[in-house]
Amino acid sequence: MTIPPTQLTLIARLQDPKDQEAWQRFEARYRELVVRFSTRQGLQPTDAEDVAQTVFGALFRAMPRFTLDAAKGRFRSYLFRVVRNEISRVRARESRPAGAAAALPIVEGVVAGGDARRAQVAELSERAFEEEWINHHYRIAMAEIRRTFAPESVAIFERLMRGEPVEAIARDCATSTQAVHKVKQRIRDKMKALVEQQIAEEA
Amino acid sequence: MSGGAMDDASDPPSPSGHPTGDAERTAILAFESDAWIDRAARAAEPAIIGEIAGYRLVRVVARGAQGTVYEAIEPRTGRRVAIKRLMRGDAALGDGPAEPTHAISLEDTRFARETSVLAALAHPNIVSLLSAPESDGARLLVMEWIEGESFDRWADAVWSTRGRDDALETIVRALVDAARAISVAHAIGIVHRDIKPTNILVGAGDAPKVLDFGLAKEFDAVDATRTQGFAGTPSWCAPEQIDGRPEGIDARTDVHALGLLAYRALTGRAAFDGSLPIGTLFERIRHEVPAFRAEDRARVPSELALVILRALEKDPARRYANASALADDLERFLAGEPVEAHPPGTLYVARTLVRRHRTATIGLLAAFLALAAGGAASLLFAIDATRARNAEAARADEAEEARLRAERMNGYFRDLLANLREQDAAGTPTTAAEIVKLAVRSLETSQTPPELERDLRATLAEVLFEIGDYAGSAAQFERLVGLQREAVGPPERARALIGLARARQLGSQSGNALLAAEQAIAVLDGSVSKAADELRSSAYGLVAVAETSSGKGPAALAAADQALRFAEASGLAPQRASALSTRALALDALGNREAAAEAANEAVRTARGLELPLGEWSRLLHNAGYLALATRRYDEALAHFDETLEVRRREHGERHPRTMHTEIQRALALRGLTRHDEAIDGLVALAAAVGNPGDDASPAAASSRAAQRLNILRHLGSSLEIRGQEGDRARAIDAYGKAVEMWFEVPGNTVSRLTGTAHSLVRLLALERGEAVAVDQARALLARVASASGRAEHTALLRAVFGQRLAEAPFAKDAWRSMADTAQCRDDARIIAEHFGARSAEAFEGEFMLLLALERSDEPSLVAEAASLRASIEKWSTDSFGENSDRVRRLMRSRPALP
Repeated sequence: MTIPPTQLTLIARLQDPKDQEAWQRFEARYRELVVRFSTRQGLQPTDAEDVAQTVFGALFRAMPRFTLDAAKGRFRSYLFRVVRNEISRVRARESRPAGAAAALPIVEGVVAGGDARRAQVAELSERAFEEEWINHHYRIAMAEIRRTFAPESVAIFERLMRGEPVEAIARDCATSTQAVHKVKQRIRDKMKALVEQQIAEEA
Repeated sequence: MSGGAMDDASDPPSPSGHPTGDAERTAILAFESDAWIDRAARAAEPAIIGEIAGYRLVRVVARGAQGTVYEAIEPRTGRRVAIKRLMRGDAALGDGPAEPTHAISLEDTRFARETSVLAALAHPNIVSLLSAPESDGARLLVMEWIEGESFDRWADAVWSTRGRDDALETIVRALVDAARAISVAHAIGIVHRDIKPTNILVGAGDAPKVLDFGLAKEFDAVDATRTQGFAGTPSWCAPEQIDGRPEGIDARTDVHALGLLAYRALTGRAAFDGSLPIGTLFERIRHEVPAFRAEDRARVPSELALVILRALEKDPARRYANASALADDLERFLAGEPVEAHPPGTLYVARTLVRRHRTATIGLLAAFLALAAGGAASLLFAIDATRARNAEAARADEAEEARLRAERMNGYFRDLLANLREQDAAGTPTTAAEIVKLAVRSLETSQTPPELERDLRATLAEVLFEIGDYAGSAAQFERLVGLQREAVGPPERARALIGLARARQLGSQSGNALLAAEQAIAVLDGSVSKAADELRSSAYGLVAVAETSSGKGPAALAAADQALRFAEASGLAPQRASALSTRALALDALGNREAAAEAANEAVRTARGLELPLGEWSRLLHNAGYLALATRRYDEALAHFDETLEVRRREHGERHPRTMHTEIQRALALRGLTRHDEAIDGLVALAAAVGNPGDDASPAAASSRAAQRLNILRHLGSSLEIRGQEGDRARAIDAYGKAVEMWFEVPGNTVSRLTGTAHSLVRLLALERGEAVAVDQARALLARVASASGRAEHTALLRAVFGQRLAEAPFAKDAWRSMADTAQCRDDARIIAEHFGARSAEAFEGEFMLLLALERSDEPSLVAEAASLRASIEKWSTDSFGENSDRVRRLMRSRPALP
């Protein structure tokens, strides 16, 4: 997706509840982050979707009054607080019915039972959210790169991501190591620019 | 969001220590080492959210009433698949269905249906079923994964990234593919029933894939998929789905949905707004034909629009029989062949417009009629619907405002209804016109909050205009303008002034119409928006029409050019068509008839197939007919008038002034074709139908009726004269005489409406009964005009007209001298030129009269002046192409040849 300069104000545009395009773009951009973070927190996929649904509904109601002000923190922190509250709420709800074979009640990072995987991802810290958030921005940028770079370049990059040595890639792709480096550099520059731009748009 | 807050946020990190700094950003981006590649690799991993039947679930794609759809990976092959699973396991997490057993068994049935349908359908444009395993008692559908976008989003992207022709063809081809895929189902007796953009994904190569046969059913099969009378997605369903008649649902239901899909993809708008309250939504689906707006024209050729409208017919019998027939017609469109949906004649378009228009703008009139019939409920609905529909094109907040207004209006009409009931109970039958009168009266006598009063006046003004009471409409608009003052913004004030100008124009008050239109332009001063440009275009158009009817061609043309310019600035095709048509009339006033006729035809071509208010559409048709008539293309004129009448009879009724006006012109076309008897019979019938001004209670209505009658009688007179059978001349004199009487019934009528008729009357009298009678009649008329209108320019012009006439009669030199001496002629010529413009046709009359007077003088100085004036008139008549040339030449033809 090419990003028009107006998107610099994507968050600002959410002030206008009628700006449907802004809301669609906003939801398209952040929904996966919310769902992934929620599932990393051990929620069932359906619950994670519920969390996303509720979060975007709450944002829709709250954004028109939301002001980005340094004293209150940034949009990302705000998003995190909303998501965390909703995850806690879902967990609290699910800890009630006896028959629910769903996610485990996790309070303040303490796991009340369950398997190891859930324990690992139970941490409801802002740090975990940040991690997911960074991944998320990389993922968006990656999608854009896959879309806009030549398939050969993308293929080279896929192999770089799998950790294959440059020489091996050059040999298999019947090209020079310089060329591989060049692809890597081009993709890095693009990725850097995209991620920077995306983050700037949150301001 | 305050700008200040945003600025702070984008500034360098605040000292308060929030982690917004460069250090963090660098850490995040980590582009200095190869860490970024690891990060990218991690980000690229699918988030595994679980496993089911051996598939690794990656994410939830969709959750619906029927189940959850996951994106998943088949570990063995690594290929991506879509898995649909019943909600059964998940239901326990939520509040749970009210009747779990029933719900599950119902959904099981649906599921089984979808499985069997998909298994039966193998088509490149239908999603393929890979397997249908069970897992923990839940049934799964494993389908090929389709990387694509929903049809609407895909189409929006196509429009924004490709050229118009390319985009149009791409989207129509995809529609054909989708329709063909559905037709495979139809061929084996299966209806999809839930076709909507999210169920048709478009992937690489612009190939659509139809998904979700969960609601599919076989024709005539016992319907396992129905619950509580309705199955489907409300805003994408057909009328027969709403009505809960399972037997009414067949392949044509899918055709309707494909029509909605096409409408959405091509216009960028859903035909029916899914966010409406369900009752309103269903009511619209039942009754409202989706409109192609002016702005859609740039994308959707009218042929294609016809195909879509055919698919969207409310009555399934009128739609394509199945998806295959729709696909065929779409392919015909792509191949440039005539489409099946195309009407045999142009009347179809008019009829379609009528149908659409009828629900959209004469709802209010319908409301009053409903009221007359005592149908309170339908009245309230009609008002609400009209208001809401009018607002539909506008934004949501306006719709809300419109709804509130409608509520207030309803309250008012409820009271009115109570009054009516009393009247009816007293045995007084009520007609629509009486109801409107009562509405006006009750508004005068009740205490009404200003805002509501404005709404009511606006509505009444519109209704009165609609039923052809232009004087009454103008009176309401005047009150509205007075009430508005500073209370509302420029657009609303301009709208009221434009309405006022239009009502005055049609009520034969061009001068006052001009004032209102000019005020509208002044009110809009400084407003910068497309809407303002649209209003300016309308206002300038009305200025042009008013100037045209006062015979001021150059001013009219200048205004029409402005109208066209603003129409183009507003980007609205109907506005442009209107301005073109108005410009045609201005060109005509300048005598440039060929160009005028061409402009009028272009206006009709531009507007054909557009969503135009029917009143305006019929005006364009009428003008084209009028100019065909003026350029002596009588066949063409007749065809235009027939089409106009078709619209106006349906739209306004037989006895509406505008309908009658077209009838008059049609008679003239018949006359041109030497079908004299038909023409004269028609005009006689019209004269009888229009009635006498004395029939009207209000002076204003009487005046408007008189203007109409004058027009009919004038043409009847000339038609009789042309036919020239035994007794026709006497009948013509009678008609002209009555026409002249009518002029005195219209206060403030333009004198140019009188001069021609009066001249004809006097001329025929001279021929039939002798010059003495003619001269007496002329003098009597002159005296009456002088005392009735009291306006110097009226008597001056009439004197000029009669003066010429009488001066030309060889014997009447004395009469002439006694009527108008040279000094009188000079005065008259000056008054006429001052009032009508130095280069107007009226000024020509004045100067010509002066010339004749001068030439009859024996005084050398006057003879010399006569020579110079003759030279000047001659030059004028040759130079003035484009400035009244036609009228001047016509006048010249009837004068003694200049030496």
